[in-house]
Amino acid sequence: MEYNEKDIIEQLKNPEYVKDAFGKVIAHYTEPLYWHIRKLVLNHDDANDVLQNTFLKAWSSIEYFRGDAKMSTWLYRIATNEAITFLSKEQGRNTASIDDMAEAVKALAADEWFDGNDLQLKLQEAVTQLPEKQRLVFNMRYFDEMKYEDISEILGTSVGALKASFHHAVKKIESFFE
Amino acid sequence: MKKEDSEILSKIGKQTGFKVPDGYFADFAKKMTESLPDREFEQEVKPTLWHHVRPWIYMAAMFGGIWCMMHLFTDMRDNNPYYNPSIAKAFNNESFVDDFVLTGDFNEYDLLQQLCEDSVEISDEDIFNDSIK
Repeated sequence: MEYNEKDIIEQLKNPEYVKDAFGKVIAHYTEPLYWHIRKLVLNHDDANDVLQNTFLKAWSSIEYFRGDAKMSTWLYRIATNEAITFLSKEQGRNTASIDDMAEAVKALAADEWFDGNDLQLKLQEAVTQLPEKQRLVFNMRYFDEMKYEDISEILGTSVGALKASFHHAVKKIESFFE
Repeated sequence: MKKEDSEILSKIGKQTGFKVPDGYFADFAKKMTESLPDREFEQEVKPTLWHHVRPWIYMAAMFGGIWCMMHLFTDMRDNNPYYNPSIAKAFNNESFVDDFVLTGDFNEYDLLQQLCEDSVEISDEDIFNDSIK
C-alpha cells in the first residue's frame, strides 16, 4: 500500500476519513516504532503493550497534530515517552535503579523472541548500562541509523549534544567489552 | 557513520538478535486499527471573508463611535442657551472688565455706550435678551 504522508495528513483533518487515514499511519509506522520500543524495553510482550499505548495516545490527540512536524517525529516522541514511562513503572515496581536493567538482559537470554549470539547479548547488556539519554541516542544512531537532525527533533536536544552523547556511549560500550 | 563506530561494534554488526512472531506486524496493524475507540470530531470551519474583515470593521465602528461622541459634546457646548458671543467678546476686553465688572459702578446706559465704543456689535435682540438683563 502506497503511503503518501501529505495526503494522509489532509485526510486526518477530515472527520469523515480520519479513522481510515490513521489506519494507514498505523500500518506504515508499526514496524519502525516496534523496533524502537523493543530496543528500549527488550521484551516482545512489553514492546507490544507500549506500541499499543503509543498508537492509542496518538489517536486520542490526533486533532492536535497539524502537520507542522513530521508524522514520524511526532510518533517517535510519543513512543519514546511511553517506553520511558513503562520502564520507570516497571523499575519502580521491582525497586531497581532507573538505569539498572541487568535482570531484563538476563531474561533476554531465555526469551523465545531473542536468537542473538553471545556478542549481541553482551552488546544489549552494555547498552542497558548506559544512562537513559545515551541509550536512546545510541539505539537511534547506531541500530536505526537515524540522522542527528531527526534525533534532535524527537528528543529535543541539540545536534552537538547528541554527538557528544553518542561518543560517550560508544566509549562506555568499548570499555564494557574490555 | 563508519568513523564513529568502534572496532568491537564493527565486529558485532547492527543486528540486535530480536525477533517477532510470524506475521506480527501485519496482524498488529489490523487489530490495532479495528480496536481504535470511536471518537467525535468537529468539522473544521473554513474561515469566510467575514471572518477576515470582522476585526477591521469592529475597529472602524469603535473609532466612528468615538468621533460621534466628540461631535456630540462639541455641539452641546456650542448650543449652550446661556452662551452669548457678544458678552463673551466684551469680557475679553480688559478695560471693559476693569470699568464695569471689577468696580461694579455702572448702569445699563454706560454698559451699552462702552460696548459701542469698543466696536462690539449689539443687536436689538441682544439688548432685550434675558442674558444681558
